[in-house]
Amino acid sequence: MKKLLCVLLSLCLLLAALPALAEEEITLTFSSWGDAAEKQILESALARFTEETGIKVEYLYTPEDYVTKMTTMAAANELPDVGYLSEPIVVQWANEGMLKDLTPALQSGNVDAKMDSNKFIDKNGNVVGVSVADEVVMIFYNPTYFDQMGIPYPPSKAEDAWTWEEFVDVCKKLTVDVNGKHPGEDGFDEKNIRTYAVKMDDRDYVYESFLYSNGTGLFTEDGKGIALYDDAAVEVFQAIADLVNVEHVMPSAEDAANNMDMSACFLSNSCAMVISGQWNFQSMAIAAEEDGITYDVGVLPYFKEPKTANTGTPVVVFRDTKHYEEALLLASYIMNTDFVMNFITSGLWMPVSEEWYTDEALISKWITEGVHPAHYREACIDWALKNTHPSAYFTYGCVQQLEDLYIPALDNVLLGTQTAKDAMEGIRGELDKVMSDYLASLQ
Amino acid sequence: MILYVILLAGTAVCIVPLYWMLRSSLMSNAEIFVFPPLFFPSTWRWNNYVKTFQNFEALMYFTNTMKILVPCVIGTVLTSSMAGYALGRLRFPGKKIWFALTIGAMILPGHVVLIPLYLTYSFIGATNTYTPFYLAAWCGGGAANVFLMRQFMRTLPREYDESAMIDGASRLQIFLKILVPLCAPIMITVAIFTFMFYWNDFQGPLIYLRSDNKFTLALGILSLRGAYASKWNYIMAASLVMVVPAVLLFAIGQRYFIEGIVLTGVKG
Amino acid sequence: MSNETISSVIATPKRRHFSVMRRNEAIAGYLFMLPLLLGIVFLTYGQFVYSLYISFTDQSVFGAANFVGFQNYVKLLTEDFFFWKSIKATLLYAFGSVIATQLTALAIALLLNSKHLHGKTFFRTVFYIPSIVPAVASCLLWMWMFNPDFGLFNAFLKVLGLPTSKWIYAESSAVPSLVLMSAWACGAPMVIYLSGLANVPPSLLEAVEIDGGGVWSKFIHITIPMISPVLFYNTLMGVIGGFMTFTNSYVMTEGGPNNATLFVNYLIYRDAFQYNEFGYASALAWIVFILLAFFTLIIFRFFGKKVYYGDRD
Repeated sequence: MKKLLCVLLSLCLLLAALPALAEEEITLTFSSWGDAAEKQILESALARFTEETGIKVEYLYTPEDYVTKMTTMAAANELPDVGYLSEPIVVQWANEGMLKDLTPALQSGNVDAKMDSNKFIDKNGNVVGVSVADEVVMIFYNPTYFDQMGIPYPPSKAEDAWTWEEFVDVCKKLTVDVNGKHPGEDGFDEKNIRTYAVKMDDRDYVYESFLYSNGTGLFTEDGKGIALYDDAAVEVFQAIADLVNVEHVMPSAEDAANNMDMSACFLSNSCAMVISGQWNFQSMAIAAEEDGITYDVGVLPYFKEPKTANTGTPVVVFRDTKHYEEALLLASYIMNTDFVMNFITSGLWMPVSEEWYTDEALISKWITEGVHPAHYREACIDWALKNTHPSAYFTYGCVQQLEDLYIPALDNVLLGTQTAKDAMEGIRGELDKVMSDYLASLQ
Repeated sequence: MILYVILLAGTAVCIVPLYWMLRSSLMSNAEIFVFPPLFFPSTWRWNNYVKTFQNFEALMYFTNTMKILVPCVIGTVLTSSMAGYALGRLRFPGKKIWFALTIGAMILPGHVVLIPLYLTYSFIGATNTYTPFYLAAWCGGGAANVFLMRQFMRTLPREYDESAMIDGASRLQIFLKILVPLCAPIMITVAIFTFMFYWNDFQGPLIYLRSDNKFTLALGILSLRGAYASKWNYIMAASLVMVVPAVLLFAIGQRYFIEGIVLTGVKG
Repeated sequence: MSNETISSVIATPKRRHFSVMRRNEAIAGYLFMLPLLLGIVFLTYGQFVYSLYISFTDQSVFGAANFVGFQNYVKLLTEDFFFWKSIKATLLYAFGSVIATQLTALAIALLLNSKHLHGKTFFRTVFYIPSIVPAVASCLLWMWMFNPDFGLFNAFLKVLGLPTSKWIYAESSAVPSLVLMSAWACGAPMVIYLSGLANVPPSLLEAVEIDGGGVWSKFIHITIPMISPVLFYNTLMGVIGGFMTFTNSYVMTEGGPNNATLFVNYLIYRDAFQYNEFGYASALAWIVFILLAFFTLIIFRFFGKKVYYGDRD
């Protein structure tokens, strides 16, 4: 009798437990880099995901050497399910089959429509990554200094953008040496400049932006050749180098001003303008609060057409995932603009969906007082919407190798010891080799 | 005396980084990079230290670091002195080959061994544990330390070993009772160097560890570096806090190993 | 018994005893070596062999490995745009930094070893500090000091009326600048020299004094030979460390200007992890290995013979 009771009891327990057993617990792994603040925002986003879907997420946080770690894990077949990936290697990895197609996620209805300019495409035309944030390049300037010099601010509308010549003119008026003289004036001392007009950060994106503005880019129109040594590109590189060596309005690589953070530049008045990326708003906002500096933004000067390159780290789904559907769901959550609003309001990111650039109600959700300056709407939002050209990272896997060749080659051009034409001719063979190797690898 | 002048000049050169870290940790981010550099912050932001450690689980990272560090220092000192003893004072077949292999182990650039090593550990399920650190420390503790111990062991006259053997001591007793005390200075040196290595090492933890709750201090500090912009003042604050215990340890420990036992009487 | 028998009776036990001793010594040797042996076999050479194998393939970390023979090596030696410049830069840095660092470390150690010095603890700690400052902080600090306009170094030079330099911002002065930086962080070799100096018997130094020798005589005839084991160690480790340098160029110059500081370790890292050419990077690593092994051998051959050890080995 007792025995029967025991058996019945266990059977009952078993039956009660069955539904729980049937529900398989899935845990996804998500990886990213970033600082402690970003880590916290992601952690709460992931917690929300778990709450709403019941899928657990293990967060793999890698503060440094992200690529090394991912590559090592890839070799051991231990890649996470979803995660960030550095722009330069996305297409390369995708072409080797390391990333899965994100298109089902984009079409699922869980994500707001993403701009095409932020999609990473592999050689088969699949969308393998979508930027979590759009980032563009523009002129950051110090309005206080402009007021002091009595010079009108850089234009904030693309239609009013400066031509390169107008830009150089303004730069000359902004630059002063320790005696208050401008370049071109008698007695101008180029070795003792007090304030430079402009400096450029993050050269790869800045160069790209100006290349696009001059109707060229890293690659030729058909996408099968290198354009870096063609006249249009050489013209851009030489013009930029001339800012340093001929016009004396930009600090050279070794100049103290060149090595300062944007906020330090404005604080000490060593540069009036800095050409850099959207992500700076977060730190500039903090600096404004801590040090009382002022900043605003304007559009880039142009050669033929006002253009900026745009970029943005993507979220991807890795090859080794055993839960493709769930991984897509997680990816779409991260891509969802609402989900990552904290990053956007802090000034670090910009949305990647067109409606956020056009719909007034949504725009007001995102613009924050004290972070986004007066001309942000025109010089950044409209600028990113209408005048952008995707960086080569989105569609090519060989960009890193090209950059490792042409950017060092330009060091001497910027120092004034070599012309841009000679420098590019010098690496022409190497650039072509990279291209042909790359095209061969796509077969 | 001239000696003091030179040394004080040298001191200034060496203290500069600590002062610079201190002044940067008390400034705003923008101020740090202003040129000409400011020697004093315009406002002394002691609050930076509070903010740095607000999101920083110092105690947990510290405990983790200790969990790696203590066993590894012990293991390194022990096994490297054992190997140094063998290579430096014992005769056995193949000794020259093993010594060559030990030196050879230092010569191959680490990046290419990183992946096979990771695969090995992954195979035995040791990733996301501290096992890779323990194994490396207890299996000889690094070729450089073995080499160093061997050099030191070789400077000690053989008379010690021989007289002990005549008295019937086993090799183990010779090792423990004679050589270890004589080599105490260099062993403490190795211990301190090993401490510094594990204290500051972030590469190893970065590659082998996955969960945040296993991270060490050095790795935790990196979380102050953002994706696009870093809070340098916080990084300096955290780095300074990390340097201080290391400096203290060295200051206290050096007396023991540098003013170590000087050989007198036996030779010359 | 005849003499032969007696002597043979006496002789045999000794020989047997001797070989037993030898065997015991060998066993003890291997027992003491055991941890290191295990480490070398499983944690080091297994991986070495694997990476040697990979260097003969076109492995791309996650792709399949196709055997390509010596293709990687040939490409590196003949076609690679960065290879020769990188080797040159690395050699220049390695030997430069060994000389600079060892001289500095030894000089400071000698100064700190002076008999009548007060505050030894303080000074020793102070000179050790640069080597434990986190790389991130010291790289930033040195970039500031190297700045041609406002940096500490050019400020000094200007005060002394000497010509200034562009330091790490110009091709020709970049590597020497990094060599200078490496000499500053000579804390570890300095400590080892101090340990070695502490073991120089004062009786020997006194003997030279009695014979009428001065400071230089003492240095050459007693000090140097007595510390030659650590001198040897530090020099070898300095060369190896110089070859393996990575962080300074990675953080401060990104291999520039114009690849002047693109050291081999950086090149390996880039080829392996950024270009995903793992086979190619392994081949490069093995070329470095051969080069370094060659130098190590030379150091052992020429320098090693002159080292004076306390034992009769």
